[in-house]
Amino acid sequence: LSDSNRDLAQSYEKKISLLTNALNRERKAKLQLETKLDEYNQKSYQASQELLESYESARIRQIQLQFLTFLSSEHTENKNLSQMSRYFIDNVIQLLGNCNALIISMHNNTPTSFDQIDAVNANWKSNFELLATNKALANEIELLNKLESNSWHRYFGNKNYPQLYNISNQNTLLCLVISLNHTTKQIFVIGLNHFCYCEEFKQTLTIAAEQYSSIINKRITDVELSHNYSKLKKTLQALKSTQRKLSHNDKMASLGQLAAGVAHEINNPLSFIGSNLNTLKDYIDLYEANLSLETGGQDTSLEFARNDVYELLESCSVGVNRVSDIVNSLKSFSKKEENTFVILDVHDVIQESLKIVENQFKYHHDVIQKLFTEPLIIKGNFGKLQQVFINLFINAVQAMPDSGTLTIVSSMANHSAIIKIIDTGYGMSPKTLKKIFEPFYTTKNESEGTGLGLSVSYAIVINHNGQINVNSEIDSGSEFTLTLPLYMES
Amino acid sequence: MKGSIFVGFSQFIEKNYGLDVWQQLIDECPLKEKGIYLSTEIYGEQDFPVLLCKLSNIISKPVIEIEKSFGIEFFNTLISLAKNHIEDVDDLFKFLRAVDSVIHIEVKKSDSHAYTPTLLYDQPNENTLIIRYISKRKMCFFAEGLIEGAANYFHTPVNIFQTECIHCGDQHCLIQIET
Repeated sequence: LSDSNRDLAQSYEKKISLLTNALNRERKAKLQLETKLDEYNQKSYQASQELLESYESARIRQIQLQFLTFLSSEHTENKNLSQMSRYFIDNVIQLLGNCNALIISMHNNTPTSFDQIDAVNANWKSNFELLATNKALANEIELLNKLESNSWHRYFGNKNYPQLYNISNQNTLLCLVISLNHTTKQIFVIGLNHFCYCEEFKQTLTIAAEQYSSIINKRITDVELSHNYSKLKKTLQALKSTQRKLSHNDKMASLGQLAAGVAHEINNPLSFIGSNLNTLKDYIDLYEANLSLETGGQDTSLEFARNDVYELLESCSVGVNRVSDIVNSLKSFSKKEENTFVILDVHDVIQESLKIVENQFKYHHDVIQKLFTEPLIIKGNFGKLQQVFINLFINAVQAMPDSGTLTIVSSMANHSAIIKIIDTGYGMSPKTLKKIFEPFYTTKNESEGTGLGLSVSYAIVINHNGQINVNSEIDSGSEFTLTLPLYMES
Repeated sequence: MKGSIFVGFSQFIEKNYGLDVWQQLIDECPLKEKGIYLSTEIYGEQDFPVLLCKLSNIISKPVIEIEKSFGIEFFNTLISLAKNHIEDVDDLFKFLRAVDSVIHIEVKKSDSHAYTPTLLYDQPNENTLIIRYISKRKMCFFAEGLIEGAANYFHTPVNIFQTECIHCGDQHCLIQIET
């Protein structure tokens, strides 16, 4: 190189060196500036970091809550167990995206049904239909069944459950076992292509599983409680009914004893009054014969007494007969019947009773019979039962003085003959209903009834191991129900 | 996009291919920022793919390869930024799990509303970590390079591959790392 060129080259080298130094200085200055800016940014970020983190945390919580609200009992309360499981898994799948699922119902460690949800197609159904022949798959389900309940189990690859892995056609399996009771379980198997989610998301899934388990258990408890409540309610009703019957029976038994005592006490004097009245009549006949000879029929006051004495005697006899009838009725009410029981058809008793009272019904009343098509065979006393029906029919007609309908319905239930006598009469108040089977209780005029008809009927039915009940409503009518045990050939 | 990426990319090019190549890129690419980048600033992401494609043309290397190489080298910058945040981390998977929060802080401190990629993790067993990478910038190969850089840093031999990739029409990238 010539001197001038060498000088030029040296000058360029010097310039390049100067420029390189300048560039490096500028770079260092830029770096210092960036570092300063970075420190400033760092401080500024730290000041707002708490706020930003709170915002992010709130945002995630909102998403969590939104999802969990979907699974809350409010959205599942009108669903049955199967619909609830489907609803749960549908929501989880929607949250996860790009996956498929299978719900296996287990009873006594045996799969009983499968429900396939195909967000991404997998041949769950066709494979599980061949479960009986696929021993390996059956073994995998057996293993799933033993997993800890109420928490998710994640399996990656085909190591643990190769059959399920192949069927799902995904590289990750999420499994959840929910125990419904000691023998029944639901197993959820979700096939998904990854499980890369933030911790909050995974936590949400865990909470969702726990929440679902709680809702299911609550539902089962509710059903059990409801069932138990219903049973308790029925038991309480039965207890109350039994208590009422016992109380009534006790009262009636006391009244029966009282009636027996009264009947016994009245019966003896009544016997000699009746007998004496007859003797007295004979004596008066004798006096009459002799007095006619003595007076020749001239004394008018004596004549009046002679005529009146017969009327008085007749009136006394009628009174004594009536008292005698009452005493006999009291005996029927209080004494256990000793009459023989025979096998009979209740329908025959009803027909015979109707014949006796038909005069009372034939002009102004309708009689409707809805009788059971088969004979209602019981063991009983024909006459006594006839007395019961006649009494009920007469009561019915008296409750419908102008017109009305008497309906007789018979049926069979719980090895018993059920006979209903229904009228469309005045009906009875609750107060009256409580007392109608008590002796001497009557709402009729003194001349119409003694108040013993229903109490005697009650005693007869009880003596037949039956029941008599009544429902009534003022101005609508009354319904008497007789329940008599059917005759069973031993 | 964080300015430190552009600054790091210019240093990567200058170191491996010369200052003239970087200058050529600035001169020939229609860059919004005219090649002027500060590490602390946030820039639009349109410049980066333009620079990548042009570099690929100049040096005749596939974009994927350049992205990965850049990722491996840029890890050194990243670790210098992250050191304060991950002092107790002593293995690769723990580090990778912490990266997401570190990146977030580095970007958000410049602009709290700036877009950041999402990294979600699943570790099905002790030898496998799966990272779901979700980013509108689709820089999954750069991420792969960063992971490789981290593996080198922790002296952990790894096998890195993607089972799903956004470049293949998937909704996200699933980067699987096996040790």
